[in-house]
Amino acid sequence: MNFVLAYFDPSAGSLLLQALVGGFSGIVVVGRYLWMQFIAGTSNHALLTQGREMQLSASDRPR
Amino acid sequence: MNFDSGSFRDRSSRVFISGNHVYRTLNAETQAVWKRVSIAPFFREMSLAGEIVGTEEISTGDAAQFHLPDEVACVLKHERIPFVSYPYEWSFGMLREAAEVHLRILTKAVPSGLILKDASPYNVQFRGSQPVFIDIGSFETLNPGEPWSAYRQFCEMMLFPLLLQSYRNVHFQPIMRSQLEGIPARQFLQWIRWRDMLRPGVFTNGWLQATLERQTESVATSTVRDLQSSGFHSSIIVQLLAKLTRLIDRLDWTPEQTQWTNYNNSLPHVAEDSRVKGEFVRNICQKRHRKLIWDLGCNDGRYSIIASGYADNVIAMDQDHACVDRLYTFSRTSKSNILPLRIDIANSSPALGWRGRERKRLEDRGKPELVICLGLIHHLVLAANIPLPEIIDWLASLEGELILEFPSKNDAMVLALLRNKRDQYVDYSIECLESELQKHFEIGARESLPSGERTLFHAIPKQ
Repeated sequence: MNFVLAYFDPSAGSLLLQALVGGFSGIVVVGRYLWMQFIAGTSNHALLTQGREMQLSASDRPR
Repeated sequence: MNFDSGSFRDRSSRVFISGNHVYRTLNAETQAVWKRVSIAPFFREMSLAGEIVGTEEISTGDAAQFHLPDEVACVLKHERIPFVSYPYEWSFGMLREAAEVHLRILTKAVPSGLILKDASPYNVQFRGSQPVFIDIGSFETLNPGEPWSAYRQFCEMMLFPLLLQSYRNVHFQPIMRSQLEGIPARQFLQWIRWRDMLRPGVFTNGWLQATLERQTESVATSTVRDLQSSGFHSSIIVQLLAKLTRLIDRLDWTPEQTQWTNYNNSLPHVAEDSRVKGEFVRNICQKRHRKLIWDLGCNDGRYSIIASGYADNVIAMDQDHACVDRLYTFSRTSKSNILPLRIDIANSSPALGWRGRERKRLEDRGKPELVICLGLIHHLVLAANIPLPEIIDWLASLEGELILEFPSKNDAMVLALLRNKRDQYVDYSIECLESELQKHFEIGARESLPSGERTLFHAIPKQ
């Protein structure tokens, strides 16, 4: 989907707020959004941890 | 051809003025939207009702005369608004009307798959007292799942100023004059007391917005895209618009009584003199029809109302917000051609914005053919300390005829103004006034008022 973005920053907080103010379906949307952020955060964290462990194990190899 | 100096923020749609007409250029993308908007039933209906500015597309042949840049795909010609005014000159009722026009358009546009990409009160002007939406380039296609990007702008430029005026009696005009982008949520909260949190619109649109803005400052991904993936739907915007409409419709402002709200009935000499002044103004106005008349220090607008019968447009100015708001309510109800503005003549609207070219100074927005200046000059000289010759020089620079009232130093109001001050005003005399007037004007008529301490002048500019 190609979005037409405004010529000013609408601010992430205000975009989320309009969903919250916009009734029950909006609250569900924000819930899904937060869940996706959480999942993305967790997987990013897992990837980072995995990468750090790989770096550590590489450094433990005998030279 | 040069684009208007205030039209640069949105590159896809820019305005220029040629002759007596206002034109708008559109790029290819905006042209496609215009094709869609121009046939939308709501657009036609609101244009016919005068709520959206009259607009027509001009032919490519006609557009060629302007030597426009290559990226211009089409040119629209707009109806010309008689006098441009700005939100920092409007009263509470006027700003509320501007917000309501936005919400009415959006409520009809969203179900048609269209939206306004910005929500600036500068996109509304007044034809007489009727608000008119002028920014056709603001229409945009609403893609499925896309939120309303201008919600924050709507809050900062219209909702928060209205809430502050309504709940806290904070006059929004001086703030809007110095902050052209409006009032951010965090600043709005600084004026709000804890008990105001329970009042409609404050907690959600104010506190929650400020909090969410702070919490999401570090979000790296596109929230627009993420909301779409989370199932955002245009029905959410429709619900939000309905809530905002209910909130703004219920907002009210009860001004405190000021010296000026009942001025015309408070002093005996005012009531006596008022009838004679009215006749004097009427006699001069009816000599010929004029395009534009200014009434400086209009108070309840009784002379503006007389003048409005003999002119295309009357701009009624006063520094008292309550007077201007009351006159706007009258003007709107009676569908008159009077545009009331909150302007302090001792500190009138300057050039503002980028390079001082974005918002024009008062005097650069149309020259009046007649200036009515009744019950004002003593306040400018004795209260604002402006030398009398300076005032006459400024009035002459407007290049119009002048109706001026001069109270002598024995007048009750003049005595009141001087009772606790040193009288340093040697230039405040009828002799000095006449001498200054004669430098720029011919004095056409002169009449003493029944109170005996006030004189009216009709001055005509020297050729």
